Amino acid sequence: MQPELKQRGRASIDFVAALGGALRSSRMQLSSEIAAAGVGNESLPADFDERMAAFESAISVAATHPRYAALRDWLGRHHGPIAMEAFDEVRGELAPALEALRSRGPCTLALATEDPSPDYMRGVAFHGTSTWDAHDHMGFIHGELVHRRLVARNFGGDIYAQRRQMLAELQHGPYMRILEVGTSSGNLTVALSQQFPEAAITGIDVSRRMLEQAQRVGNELGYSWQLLQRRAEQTGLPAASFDLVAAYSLPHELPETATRQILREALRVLRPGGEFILGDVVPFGAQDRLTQCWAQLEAVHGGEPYWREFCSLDMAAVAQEEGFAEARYFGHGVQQFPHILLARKATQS
Amino acid sequence: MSTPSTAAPAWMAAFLGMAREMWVLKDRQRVLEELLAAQGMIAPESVSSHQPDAPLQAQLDADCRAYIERLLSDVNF
Repeated sequence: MQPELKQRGRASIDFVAALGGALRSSRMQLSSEIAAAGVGNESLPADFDERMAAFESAISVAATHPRYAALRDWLGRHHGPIAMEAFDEVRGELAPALEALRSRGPCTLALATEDPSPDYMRGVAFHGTSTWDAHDHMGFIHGELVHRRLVARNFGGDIYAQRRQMLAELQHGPYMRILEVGTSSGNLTVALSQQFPEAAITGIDVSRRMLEQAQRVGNELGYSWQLLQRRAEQTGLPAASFDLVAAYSLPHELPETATRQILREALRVLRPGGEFILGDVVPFGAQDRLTQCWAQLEAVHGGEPYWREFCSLDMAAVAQEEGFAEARYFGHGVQQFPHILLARKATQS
Repeated sequence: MSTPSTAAPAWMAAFLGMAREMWVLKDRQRVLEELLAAQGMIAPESVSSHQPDAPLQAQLDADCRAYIERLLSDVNF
């Protein structure tokens, strides 16, 4: 549902989007300045911590750094609150439609009796602004305003296409019973329904507000998803009950221990020969030294506390260590984004 | 030996200049809406509720980018 915003909210979001363009220009200028100063892949140390120190030292004295840092930090702090404020201006007008989308349709949502959020998520200001449940309509705000109106605008192209391209890598169907972990506001769930229209899809997430938005999306499109508020590490779902477990952009928000637990849980709920597919950010192993530094710098300043931990992993090795019989970890296209883990459970135990 | 500068940072001047221009615009917009509504030209709240069509949105986006470019060039870094 595309909301009609008031002039203040709309103009503020337009301003944030344009400021995002200015940030990109500043980043490019800063890159040119440090390259001119002789900082590059060859000059940066092999050790990651030493490399980050050398990189940060180099950019901190570049002429464009104050502008770049001011834009980056202002956008990081303000894009979420501005989106919330834009929503609050129209919440009264949107309320009946939002409620109707939750209550009418084939998509079901079962909420947990207690908040299942794990300790590693509590108090973390993801993406620099808030927790996933910081606003009683955070799912709508994140899905429709931050993602669709802000991120998609500066993305260049179809921001959701990569989810469909990831699913095209699957080759061992049919996938009739699908579990999605980390459903969020339902963007991968939509791609799964489009790719496998006959499948029964179960989506789980710890965030009540994101699941509520996913339910609206499912109902609006007529999809009969079963949504459950649960942890991906411990789904409580029956063993060997799914043909496919899928996730998108999830483990870079988690510590490695949680990622490994999720892989073990996925292995448990998959049938023999079932598959696990994951798309996420580009790991350090597929980047040159300078690109790693930029990614890590922006993760540190962008509310991504587990970025380095995840990007340091070889997910194919991790999946095999956790019991998958086969695993491939590869990048999509020239940008190598998303990086895709495709792992398969042994056909016989 | 150099002495610490007591001058306000340069960016403060740009910030306050922008704040002044913003207030002038806010004031002007309120006056305009009041006058237009009083003369029956627009309904109250219609400016706030208006949804730009595609050409106006494209023009606003371009103007916003140019505005930010000018603003940042004035900050002088």
